[in-house]
Amino acid sequence: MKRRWMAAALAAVLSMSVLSGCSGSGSGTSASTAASGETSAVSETQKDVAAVTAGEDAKIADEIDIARAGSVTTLDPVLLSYTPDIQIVNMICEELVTTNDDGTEIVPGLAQTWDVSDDGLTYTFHIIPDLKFSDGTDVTGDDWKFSFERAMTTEESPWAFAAANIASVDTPDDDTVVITLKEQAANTLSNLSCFSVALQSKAQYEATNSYADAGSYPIGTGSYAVSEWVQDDHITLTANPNFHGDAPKTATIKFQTVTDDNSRMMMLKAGEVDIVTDLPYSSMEEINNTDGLTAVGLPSTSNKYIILNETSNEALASKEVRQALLYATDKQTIVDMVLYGYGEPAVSFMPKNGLYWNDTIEPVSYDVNKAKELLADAGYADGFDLEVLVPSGNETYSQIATILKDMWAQIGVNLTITSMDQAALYDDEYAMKHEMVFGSWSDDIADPSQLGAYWWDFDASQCFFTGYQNSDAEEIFQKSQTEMDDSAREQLYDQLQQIFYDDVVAINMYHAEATVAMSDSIQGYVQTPLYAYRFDNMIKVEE
Amino acid sequence: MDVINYIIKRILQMIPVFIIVTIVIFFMIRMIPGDPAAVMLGSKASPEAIASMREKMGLNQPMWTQFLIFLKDLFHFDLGTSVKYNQSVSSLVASRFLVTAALTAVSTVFSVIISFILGYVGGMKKDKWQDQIIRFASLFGLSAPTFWIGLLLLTVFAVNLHLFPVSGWGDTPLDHIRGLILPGITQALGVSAVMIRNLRNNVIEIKGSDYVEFAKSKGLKNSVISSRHILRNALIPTTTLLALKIAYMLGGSVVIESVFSLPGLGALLVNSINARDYAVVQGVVLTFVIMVMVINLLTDIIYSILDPRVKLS
Amino acid sequence: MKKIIHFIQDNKLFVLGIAIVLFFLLLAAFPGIFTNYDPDAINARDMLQGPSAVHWFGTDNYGRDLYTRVVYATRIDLYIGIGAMIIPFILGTALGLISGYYGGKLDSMIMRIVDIFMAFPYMVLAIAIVAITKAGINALFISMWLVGWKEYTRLVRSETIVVKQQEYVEAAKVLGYGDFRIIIRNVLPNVLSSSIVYGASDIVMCMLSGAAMSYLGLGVQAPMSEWGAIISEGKTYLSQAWWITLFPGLFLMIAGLGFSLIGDGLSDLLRAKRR
Repeated sequence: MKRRWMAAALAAVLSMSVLSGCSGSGSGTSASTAASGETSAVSETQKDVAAVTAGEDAKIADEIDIARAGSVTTLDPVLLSYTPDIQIVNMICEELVTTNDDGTEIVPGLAQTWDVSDDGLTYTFHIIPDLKFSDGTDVTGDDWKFSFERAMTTEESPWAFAAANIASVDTPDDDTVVITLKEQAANTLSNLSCFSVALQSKAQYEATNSYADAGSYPIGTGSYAVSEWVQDDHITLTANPNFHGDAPKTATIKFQTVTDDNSRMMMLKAGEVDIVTDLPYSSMEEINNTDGLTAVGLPSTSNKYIILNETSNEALASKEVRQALLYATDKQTIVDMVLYGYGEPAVSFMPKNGLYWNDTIEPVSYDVNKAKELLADAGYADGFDLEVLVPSGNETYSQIATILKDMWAQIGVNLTITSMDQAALYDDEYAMKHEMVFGSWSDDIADPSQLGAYWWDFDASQCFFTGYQNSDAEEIFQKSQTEMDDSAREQLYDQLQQIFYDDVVAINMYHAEATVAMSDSIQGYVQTPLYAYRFDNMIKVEE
Repeated sequence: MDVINYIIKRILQMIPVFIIVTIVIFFMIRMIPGDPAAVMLGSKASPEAIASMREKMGLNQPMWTQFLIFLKDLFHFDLGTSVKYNQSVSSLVASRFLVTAALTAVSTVFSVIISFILGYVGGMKKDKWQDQIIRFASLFGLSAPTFWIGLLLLTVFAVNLHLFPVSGWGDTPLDHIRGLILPGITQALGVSAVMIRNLRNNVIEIKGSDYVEFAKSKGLKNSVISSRHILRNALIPTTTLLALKIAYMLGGSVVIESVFSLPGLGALLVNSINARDYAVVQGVVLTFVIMVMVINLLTDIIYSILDPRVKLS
Repeated sequence: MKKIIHFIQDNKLFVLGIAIVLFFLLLAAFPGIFTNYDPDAINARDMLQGPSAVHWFGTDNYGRDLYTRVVYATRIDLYIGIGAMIIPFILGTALGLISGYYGGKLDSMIMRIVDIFMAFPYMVLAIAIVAITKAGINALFISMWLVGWKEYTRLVRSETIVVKQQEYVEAAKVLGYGDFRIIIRNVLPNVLSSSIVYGASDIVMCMLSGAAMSYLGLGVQAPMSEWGAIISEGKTYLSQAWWITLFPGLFLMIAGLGFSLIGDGLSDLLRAKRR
């Protein structure tokens, strides 16, 4: 009798001690960055992972392993849509021009120099001579033509904007590409840096049945090429032997798909992979406290919006109500609880440090009383009901919704959280049936016009699914597309940002940093704010 | 001869089930709200782009037309093409099938070993200390969430002790087996707990039943009674339960495959439902259906072998 | 009075099980007695703190008191566990009896229906139902009912087949007793114990299925507190804040223990009565 109880008690005590032992360095330290009011000082003191300090004769590894949450589903530059796909295409294909590592300017890509005609409609690009694809075949004018034509004529492409303004493409010889536009546009070069108009081998396209064959991928001129691809498991890239520039330092890079966050972290800790992306913000501190590992937050173009549908909920149609919600949203707390300090509250709808980003707009402060006043003025003194749709499985949105529910309850707004599967949610969103959803954005070109079009061209997305219509704003945006003078264009975007904030078209919660964790043996890790990898100088130093 | 006739009869009976399931799945998945074109192109695609894609994917045709096309392909053993992976569904399913089948097999082996031994011992040593420990252990195993156990085992054995890989399927057959041990044990623990209790229960009942008393009184040795009478009879309902549990483990593979990052059918199913990749969903479900039917058939046959009183009808 | 004491002495574990379940029912009905905190109160200052005198079970990533959330979650978990099991138990057992006793065409038909349901992997059905009806407790119940009944049917059927061929059943038939009476008085008590023992474990399994569904984002939605959902939320913080995963798991296990002990005790009693 007694023995039984002792056995059970012993088992319980043992299991508890094993578990507390398991937590390692993390158990005592709580998130100390949670003090409200502090902006993120994290990025200033973290390690510079882009720096390469190893000497010329340092011993470096042949292969680097990276674990990512998402897997590659398609590598067709014109039809792909998800970041893991885009990142690979960016490594194996190149465009006429590209962005620098900061994502702030356009620099030469495959085109070394270019001339623009006086009317701004004709761009003549001078290509690097004797260019070869990674399979050794020569690059000809036909390949350039084919790459552009595909981008121009594929209706289903989410990137149609990049080639929309191109009237024709000519190649008088293999080293010259002439692009004629329909009208002048300030974002021409940015659009030409988009992966959808990257140079691809026409022969490869035809050999793979127009990329319809299973596991087919483009052959480009990038510093790496695909050597092996096992769907949903991994994709391996090896250095391009026919690269026109300096060979990349690491011969092979293998990207593994590991969907479970914990598993990814454990693999890093166990030394099974060298780098892990999409690290949960809550794990950053733990990784940094682990010997031999580093976790950093990097600049990104990401934004997170609270999308309020003016057409489906009467209260939301009123500007005062939306302002009340803005006043009742403590963005800093959200940043602390969701991002653990790796980000900052946002005002503008545009990405932080992106072109024309305006950080001078005066934000309102978190003020619950003011919020209640506004609500009362608008006729909602007792608050109102609101439903937010959240895609199931998305922890970030779920977290934000939970926090908002608590915050907005203080002004009498009763937020119910409804979880739906993603596809069904898209349906409702496109049909404008939702009252509130969350929106996410990151740029694919280093120009605000991609995001601008999504917001201010009503047919594109009904103003990011808010139903907000403002013909003045739409005119301003159309003007910005053809405005060639830099400072004039900047002013137009300033206006748009002001309108966005004053009218509370939506609430942009924060600019988040991209997170990545890696072993200390990795040096030279470079990622642009557009999430493109620049791994040519990346090495893994072996002892 | 009897057995073969029975098998043929069962296969014939399975065909209508198969057909019904196919029809139900085909229409059910298409009735769920959600547009595969929208999922594939992502949220940045314009409404025109999505409409264009729908046209290209043949989604604007009436459902009956789509169903007839599906049937026609099925007769040619063509399960269609995955829109997400750009691969034929059959090859996609085949590559994943191996993983899930191996995982289920390993889990079953572990379950059988753990539960048959412990269940029998527990029943024979009723109320003694062995029984007490077994009962308590199985009670805990019963109540612990599988993914929780999986994470614990991972932390201890893979991360800290480096005995097993943290995740993944690996490249060689040896890697495969190593990669399946932790997930296999994880699944087996939950399932074993139920089977131990069931078997123990049965053993106790039979042990105290009349014909065992009778056999004892006739002077048969305990060991003979154990194996021939008690074990055989006790195993019958437990075997039925095992079949149920194998089917359950097949379905539960989704969660395990997620925690241990195994590229199996469960993970494929969830991904393709989310992506509304209709052809793949159909293919995977049909595969599961066949697997389950085969398991049931085998169980009934084994059941009849174990218990001569029961005739295959 | 003496009878009660004797009963308790003879069936200690059974009584322990009842005590545990009663305790949890109390927790479910009157959580306010056991804790003063608000389970939904977010507090950025107290995120991810370990167990202490102020927060017995520590706090979670929203700064909410974990002990309070676990206590309030009892209500939902018991609701899910019992609610999801009771319908399949009744329906499934009845069908199993009919199927096993009558055999023949009726049996074939019922088993074919079982096969059809059995053929659908649990998750497909669950995800499909959730996609159609939007995730939440209702979708959870519907999918668990649709999936849960067949196990009882198969189990009870296989036991009924064995019992049906026993001498006392043959005897009853010879004596001219009607089918219904034979089923209720002779067959049911003998197969019921297996069904009940399974049922007790099924309550626990239903609670765990709820947790698994939450893991995949299909079950109980934030910010409702449910043990499985709390464990699911805690998995991201497993190495930093193990308490979020441990304590709800412990409650789950102990609740399961209670129900299982009841199941065992009942089956022991039923078996003894039959002799």
